[in-house]
Parts: sequence; structure tokens; C-alpha cells
Amino acid sequence: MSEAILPQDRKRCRLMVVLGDVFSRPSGAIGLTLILGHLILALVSPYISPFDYKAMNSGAMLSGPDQVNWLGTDHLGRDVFSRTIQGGRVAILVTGIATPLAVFWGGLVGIFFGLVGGRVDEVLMRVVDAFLSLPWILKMLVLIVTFGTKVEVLIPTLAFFYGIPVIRIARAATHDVVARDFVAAARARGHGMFSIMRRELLPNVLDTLMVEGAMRWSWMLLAFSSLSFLGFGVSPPTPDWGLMIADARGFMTFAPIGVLAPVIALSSLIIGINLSADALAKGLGVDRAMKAPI
Amino acid sequence: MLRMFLRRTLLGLATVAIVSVIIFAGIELLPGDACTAFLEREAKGQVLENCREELGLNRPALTRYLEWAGNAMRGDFGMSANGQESIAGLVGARLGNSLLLAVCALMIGVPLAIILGLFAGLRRDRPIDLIISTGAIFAMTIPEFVSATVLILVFSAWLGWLPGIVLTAAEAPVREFFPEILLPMIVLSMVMTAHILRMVRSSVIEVMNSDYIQMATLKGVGYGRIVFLHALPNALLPAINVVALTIAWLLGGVVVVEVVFNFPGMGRMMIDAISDRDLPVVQALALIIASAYVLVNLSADLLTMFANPRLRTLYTRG
Amino acid sequence: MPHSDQAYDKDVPVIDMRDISIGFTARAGSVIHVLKNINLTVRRGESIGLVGESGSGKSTLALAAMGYLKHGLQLLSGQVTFQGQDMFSLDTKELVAIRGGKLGLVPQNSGQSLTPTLRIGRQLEEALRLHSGLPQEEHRARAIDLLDQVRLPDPGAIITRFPHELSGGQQQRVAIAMALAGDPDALLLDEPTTGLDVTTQIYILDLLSELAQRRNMAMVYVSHDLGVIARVCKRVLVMLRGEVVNEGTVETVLTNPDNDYTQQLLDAIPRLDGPRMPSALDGALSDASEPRLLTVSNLSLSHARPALLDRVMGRPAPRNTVECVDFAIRPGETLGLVGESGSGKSTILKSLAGLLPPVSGSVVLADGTKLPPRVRSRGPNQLRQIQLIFQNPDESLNPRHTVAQSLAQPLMLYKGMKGGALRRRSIEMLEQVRLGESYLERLPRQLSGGEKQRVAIARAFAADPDLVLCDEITSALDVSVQAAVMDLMADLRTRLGTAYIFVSHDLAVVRSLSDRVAVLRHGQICEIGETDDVYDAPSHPYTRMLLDAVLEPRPDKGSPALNRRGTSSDQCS
Repeated sequence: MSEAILPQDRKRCRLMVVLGDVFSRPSGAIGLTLILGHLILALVSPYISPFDYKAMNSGAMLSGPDQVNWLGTDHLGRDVFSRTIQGGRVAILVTGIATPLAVFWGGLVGIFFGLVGGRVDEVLMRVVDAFLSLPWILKMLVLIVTFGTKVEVLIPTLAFFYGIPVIRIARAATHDVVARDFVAAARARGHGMFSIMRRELLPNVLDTLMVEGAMRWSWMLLAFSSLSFLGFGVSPPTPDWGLMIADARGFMTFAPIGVLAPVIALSSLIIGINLSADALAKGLGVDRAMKAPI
Repeated sequence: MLRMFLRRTLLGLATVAIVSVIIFAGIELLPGDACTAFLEREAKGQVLENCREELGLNRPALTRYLEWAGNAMRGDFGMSANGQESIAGLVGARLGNSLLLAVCALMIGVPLAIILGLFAGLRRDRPIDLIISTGAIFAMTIPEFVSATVLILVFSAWLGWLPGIVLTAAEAPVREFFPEILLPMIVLSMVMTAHILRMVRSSVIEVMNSDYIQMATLKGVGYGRIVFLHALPNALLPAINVVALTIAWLLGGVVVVEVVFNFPGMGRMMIDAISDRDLPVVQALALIIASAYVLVNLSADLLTMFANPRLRTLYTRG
Repeated sequence: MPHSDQAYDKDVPVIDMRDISIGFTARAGSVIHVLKNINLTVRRGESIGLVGESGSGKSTLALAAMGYLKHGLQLLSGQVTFQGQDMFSLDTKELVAIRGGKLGLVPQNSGQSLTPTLRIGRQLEEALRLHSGLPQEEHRARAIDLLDQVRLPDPGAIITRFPHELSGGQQQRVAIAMALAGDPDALLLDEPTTGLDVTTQIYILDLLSELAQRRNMAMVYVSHDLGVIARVCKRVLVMLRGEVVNEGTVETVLTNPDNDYTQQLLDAIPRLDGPRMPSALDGALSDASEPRLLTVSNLSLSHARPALLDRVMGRPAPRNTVECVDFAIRPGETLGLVGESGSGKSTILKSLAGLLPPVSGSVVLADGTKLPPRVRSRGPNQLRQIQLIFQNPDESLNPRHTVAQSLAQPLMLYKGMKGGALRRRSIEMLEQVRLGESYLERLPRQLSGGEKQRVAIARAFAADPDLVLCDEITSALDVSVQAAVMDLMADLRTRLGTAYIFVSHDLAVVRSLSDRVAVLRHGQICEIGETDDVYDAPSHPYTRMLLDAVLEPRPDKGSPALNRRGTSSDQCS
């Protein structure tokens, strides 16, 4: 914790202090810049795209980069540049809403059971383990195949399944805090369970949850684009990086740019999130490396 | 020791039991069943009733669950929904193929991760550490389908060194999968190596700062002995569980990699089964994968317990 | 050891440190000194004490004698020679030969200084292989011999154990045996007995003195405890913030120091025969028929919950931590609870605070009602009456709460205070513990150890309690801070008339504060009575033994050496 930030000025919002600290680290600065760039692009891309993302030009299929189509066209003659800059919009929207939801419900349940402890806690952990033992892709696919790939389905599905590992993390972090004397002091004073959770546990588990949230975001994005890639995510013709990579893969010998453009776009966002998460973890003194990707 | 072994094994079995309930209930709660999937558009009225009668789907859920679970324990997963094929027979060869892929990835990934992690940890914040750590972030974060696509583009399409797609049949003998298995293996081990490497690095840094390493130094022990005898065993102990979790996570990644490379393993079978709504196959695969996860974690727990003298005597709850 | 003697003249220094300055470069580029211009010479057979409070640089100095600096530190000036060799200019090979060989170290915390994955025998044999020159096949026998020399019971079994399987005292003796493996000419001891029980401590110190005499070794003791230094050293250096402020023979430094800081340090140490602190009962009638604030009868406590598997298999329940304890406390009275680690003294406090329901027994309040065993079944007034202060304020204050937030908790909970009234009362509480309004908005990490403990005390008193349970509240503090905190506690009870149950392993601290004392051993009270009676004329042999083991900063080392092979409290549980 030696590197931990000192919120000396409590009038400033803690979130701003944390962001400032992340930004002061080289990896954090690069990461946040990448994220910010992607967010801005997602907001303005429909207005600055040179072409309509679904406009097909049968005269110019799989053309290379030129003056008109900066990154060439895909197999249906659609402009790769326009599709690439709009290709993250759904992914960012879905994961951007689902991540906080997942961290919120998983964190709450984890803190609660970490505090309660005992047999109830053991049973819950078996259920959590049971859920974790199923590969994420199976759980997601079964629901998506049944209920469709609408955004209203994807968000709760992702939030639910990605909240379960958060339970585990929040519970472990809570266990560390519960053993400390200030929680014993609060108990001995006669504070209620809710009050202990809110006043004593949450502020001390929050750092872990913030880092967890950043990591969950990148994994959720990864899962989302994997689903798109497999054909179970966003439905065409909506532009999405995963889907674009899947479509362009068959033609990558002739038109590699059609694969590389969405690959670079997706990778830069995920790397940006991870660099920020790393800087955040360092700034908050949370060891991120010791966590498995579950 | 025996007590702890029993306790862990019982907990593992309990987890598998809970998984089987979740799987069964999950499939049960979803709209549609084997008959609606099999009959498709004709699934209505008397035909549907007859079909359900025939497959015993009218009986109470509990009866069917117990029957399914009981048969599964004996290795009998019933028949697939579309034809009259035995699921156990279908899964057999593909399970072996997936295992082959996972084991190959592990054999490369784990030693590589330990070596690189140790290096990075010992040379903390020096150029070599920065290179390894940054590389790890890249390897860890890029989705498998992206790295797979890029690798195929480079090594198969441009350089033509390796086959980019697996054409071997599922039942073919192991040696026929080489060299086709190389690219999927590299993709899988990349992510895993990165995770384990980061964990080993941070563990090595922690151990090297410990009192007992300082003591060993001041006892006159040479650097090599300090690293390999005093530090590494202690640094790897906490890594065992993370490796297990990473392997378990790999099971999800395997699915994507198998689809990308057309590898005839369980992952691709699962995607096909889900697309076809072949629920009995989905159930069977889910149960097998979940059991594998539990088994891997159980082994890791037991291995840690065996390797860690502290846990061996003080069997506290982990 | 036949060789090694006579190799050096008695007057030639073994360790010679000249003008040592050690420091680190801060972020701004300025150099910050940890040690400033220190000279230290140690001759054969001589034992020297380095004493100082935390942050005085005493451990850094001892490690520098081995040519070792912690990460980030650098030698700014000076020279360290060991038997004529410049330790900071030797190459790795030469250093490795000296360290653990002719120059041994007994580390501060042996429990953490032994490699957890290697058996004791393996670690000892490693030291022998590196430094003894004995042939491989004799290593095992020699390792057993070394463990026997430090009088560990059953050395043949110990070498097959892992470090965590030994008790603290046993680990410490293994560390000493390991340092002896290289047949050292000088031994550096970094707080060699800190954290050990008093009876174990005195045993280890006497063992070291005896070994030093027998082998004609030079010893450098690093300790915060002047009592330890007084028992084993001839010469002492008093350190303060990286500088030696006082140096001389133990006799002069302890009896007639020519330095203010040393005098303050000596004054701050509570003595077994020192003045007692003012009590709330002073002047009041201490009548046996007086109403009792709290009566504890037949209390038995256990930490272990019988596991499901054990219950199924019908195994017997584990032994209770506390067994059938009876005592009572009157309003305004301070009851001291003393005992070694594992005697159950803290467990009793936990139970009274409602955190550990008893196996059997009852606690009755002044009004004759029974105190419910669990916090959640106690009424608000019952909760308010009893408050708890913990040993380590770093643990007992929420690191995310400002002082104001910490103080607000009991005030809001018990008194329903809000807004201006809450703030006024918080400031009042801070002033009672001699802190000011300016502390309200600080976080625990912006406070010193003593300030933190004062905030924790203020938080307990904010509830306006009748009984305050003090669990080793001064153990984590430096001696001068400890004196101030004890003074504060005495002041608060005379002003507010609060009763205390004061738990400590330090007999002198307990004596200075308590009206009555109970001596605990293995979860049972073996003696209870008025403080003076217990201390002046102990009726139980265990009390006698504890009192004999107390080390006081006196040059006359009166008490006889305890010559036992492993005390009762020293066994591995």
C-alpha cells in the first residue's frame, strides 16, 4: 500500500483523484487515452462516417484501399473504414451497461455472504463454483439461442453471468476485512449488519471492486466480440468488429485490411482497458496478477 | 491429511451435483424440449404428445433428473435428439482431441510461463521485465479469435509455413493432427502463459522481499541456490491454484479456437449442438466440462496441500 | 571449539564501523539520512547493546555490519570492517563466505526468517555445508548437536520438522543454532526475543550469554527493550533518529545518563516497584459489600466450533481456551489480567464484549440482570456500558474513515447525535484524549501510532461507558508513547470513574494501573487479589516465576538464570 494514493483533499471526488493517479502513470495515460478515443469515436462516428455502413457497392467488392474507400471494401462492397469506426458502438453500449450491473450485484452478494460467513456462505460458494465450472460460452449461448441476440437480452445475460465471479472476489476481499479489529469493534458496539456492510466493509472492498470492474469490462468485451465472431452476437448488417473479422476471414488472402482494421480497433480498446486496469490496480495497491481470469 | 482429502473430494462431488441440477434445471426452464427440436414445425398436437410419451418427457422433472443423473454416472448420456446415436460414442473421440490440444498447450505454456515469470520477477522494473510484462498484457488481452486470425494470416496465408485449418477427421490417430495442431496450440498457450507468467512474477517479487530470503542471503547462501531452493518453491505454491483456474478458463477458450481452426473437438461439437438445439448433447457436454473443471481444481487443491508443509499440518479452510 | 581462539588479540576489534552514514535518495532527488556518522567497535567476547525506539535505525546499523543494506538504501560514507576486511568492498564470493560463517545473524522474527518449505534439518545442514568445512556425512550429527546446544528438547525429531511446526521460542532457538553452525566470532542479534513470552525470553537471553562466554564471541544486541540490554550487555549505545545520542557502560547509561533522551526513556519504562498511577478508587471505601458492576461466574470459553465431521464421528470436543473463570469488578475499579500468550486473557475480553458466546457460565450486571452472551441480543444500554479498545490501532480504526467519522459512530448509535451537537461532542472527546479539533478530518494513516490509539480511546469513551475492556492497548507502542497513553488512561478513570479490565503481558504495566490483578495460566485464574499483595507476596509459584522473569533496566542482574529445557508455555500446540 506504499504507493497508495492519499486522498488528502476530501472535497475532491475520490473518483477524480483515482483517475488522476491512473493518468499520471505511463501505462494508465496510454490506456485512458485509448479508451477515451474509442468512447468519443463511438459517439460521433455515425455523423462523420464517409459512407453508410450498410450501403453495398457491387461494383467494388474487396477493393484495396484507395482515395474513396480509405480502407477498401468488404465482400459485399461496403466501406471498411465506415464500418470499422462504427463497429464498436453496440459492443461498448452493451458492455458499458452490463459491467457496472455485474460488479454491483456480484459485489453486494459477495460482501453480504463474506460478512455472514459460516455454513450459509459455504453452500453459496458451492453454487458459485458450480456456475463457474460451466464455460462462459456455453451459458451465454444457451440463453442467446433461446431468447435471441437483442441488446435487451445481451445486457442482463452478460451482467448476470459476469456478476458470479465478482461474488467470489468480493467475498474473498470481505473475508480479509472482516477479520480485522475495526469490524469487531463495530460488532461489539452493536451496529447492525447493514450498517457494518455500508460503513466498514464497502469502503475497504471498493478498491478491489473498481479494479475488478475494469477487468470484467475487458473480459466482457472479449466475450461479446467472440459471440459476434461465432455468429451469435450482433445480427448483420449492424457493424461489429467480431462479426467483421468473421466475415472478412475467408477473404483475408486477397484483402487482409478487411481483417486487420477491425482487429486493430478491437485490440486497441481491450489493451487500453487492460493498461488502465493495471495502472488502477497499482495505484490502489490491489494485486491484479494473482487473479485468475475466472 | 486423509481427512482433508476426503473433505475436499466430498466438496468437489457436491459441486458436481449442484452443477448437474443447474444444467438440468436450466435446460428444463428453457422453452422447447427434445421433441420440439426434433419435430420442428410439426411439433404440435398429437404428434408432439406421442413423441413426448415415447421419450418419457411427460414424467415429473425429478424422476427424469434422477434417471439422467444416474445414467450419466455410469457414463451413459442417452441418445442425441436428432438421430439415434449414442452421445457417449459421439463425445469419446472428440473429448480425446480436446484433451490433446489442452495438454499440448499446457506443456508449452506452463514451463514457459514459469521461466519468463521468474526472469521478470527477479529483474523487476528492468528492461527485460518491462518487455515481458508488456508482452503478457498484449497476449492476455487479445481475444483468441483475433490472435488466431492474425496467426493464420501470417503463418498460413503469407508465409505458408503451417496449415491454417485442421482437416483431419475426429477419429484419426493422434499423430495425424501434427502439424495442424500447432497453430491452435500456440493460440491457446499464449493467453494461458500470459496469465500464469504475471502471477508467477508477482509471487516471485513478494517472496524475494520476504524475511527468509534476506536471512538466506545473510546466511551466506549463493544467489542461484536462493532462487531455486528457497524462493521458487514458495513462489510457485500460490501459483498452483491460479494455474488450475486458468486451465478451467481455457475450456471456454477452447471452444472459440476449435471453431476458428475447424478442430474436431468438444468445443465445436458444443457449438453445433447448441445451434441444432440438440439438448441432450448440450447437457452431456456441459456436465463433462463442469466435471473436468471440478477435477482440475480438486487436483490443484490437493497438490497445494501436498506441496505446502504449512497446509499439510494446519488444514485450515482455504 | 578448539581452533578459532587466540587467532585474534582480545583488543583487536572484530567489527569496526567508522563514520557510517546510510541514506536513500528521495523522489525529489534529495538524500535522506537513515544513519548519521556512526562509530561502533566490538571486540572479542564483548557484548554491546543498540537500543532505541522504532525508526531509530538500529536494525539498519546491525545489518550494515554484514555489508548488507535493504533495498533502496545506500552507504553514503564510512567503512565497515570485519576482522580487517572491508565489508562493502568485498566481492560476492568473499561476502558469502563471511556471512553466516564468522559473522552470524539471529533475525528479528525467526518464524518468518526460516524458509517455510524446507525442513529444519535441511536448513541447518545447508549452513554447515557452506561454512563448517565438515564432511557431508557428519552434517546430520552436527545439526543435532547444535540443536542440543541451544537446549531444544528432542533435537532428532526437530530436524525433521518444518518451521511452522515449532513454537516461537523453538524457532528462535533454531535460528540461534543456525548462526552457530558457522562457528562465528561475532553474532548480530536483531530483537532476538521480541514477541516471546517473558519466561521464554529470559531463558533465551541466558542461553546466549552462556554461549558467548563459552565461545568467546562478540555479540551485538539490537533491542527496543532496555531491560533486555541490561541483562546481557556490558556496553550500550542509545540511538535516536539515526544518531547515537548516548554511549557508555550499562551501569552509567542506566543509572546516570548524561543525556535527556535516555533519561526520558528510562523514566517512561514502568517498573515493578515504581509509583502506581492514581486510581478512581483512591479515597473511596474499598468495601467488599460494595455493589458490583459485573460478576463473572464459572465462565468457560472455546474458540473451536466442533466440525460437522467430528460430530458425526463422535470425536470429543476440543479443550476449552478458558475454563471456569470467576471474578467480579466494582464500579471504578481496574482489574488487571496478566498471563503469557495463549493464557486466554484476550478471549475473556472478547466474550464480555459479546463477540464470543461462552460454552458455559454467566455474566451478571449491577442491576442483577444477566448480560446476554451475544451482541445482537443485548439492549442499547447494555451495549453502551461496555466498550472495547484493541491492541493495534492500525487494525481497530477503519483506514477509510476520518477521525470524525470514527468518533461519530458511537455518538450516533448510542446518543442519536447529529450535526452541530455531534461535532461539538467529537471535539470534546478529542480534547479529553489531548488531541484537538484539527484532527477531525484526518485519516488514520495521517496519524502517528500514539495518536491513533488516542482516537481509538476517544471512540470507546464517546459511548460514556461504565466498563472499558483494554486488550494490550500499549503493546504495539513505543515505550515513551506507552507512558503517555497509560497516563491518559489513569487520568480518564479518575475524572470519569470508569472501571477497566486491563489485559497485558507486561507485568509492570499492569501493576502501575491496576487495583486488583488476576494471573491467568492455561485459561484458568491461578491467583487473584489486590495488586500489592499479588506482586509483593505471590502465593502461586507461577506468579513467582513470571515476576522473576521480568527484565528491568537495572545494571544489577539479580535474578538467577532459569535453567530449564523448554518451559511449559514453550511447547508447540
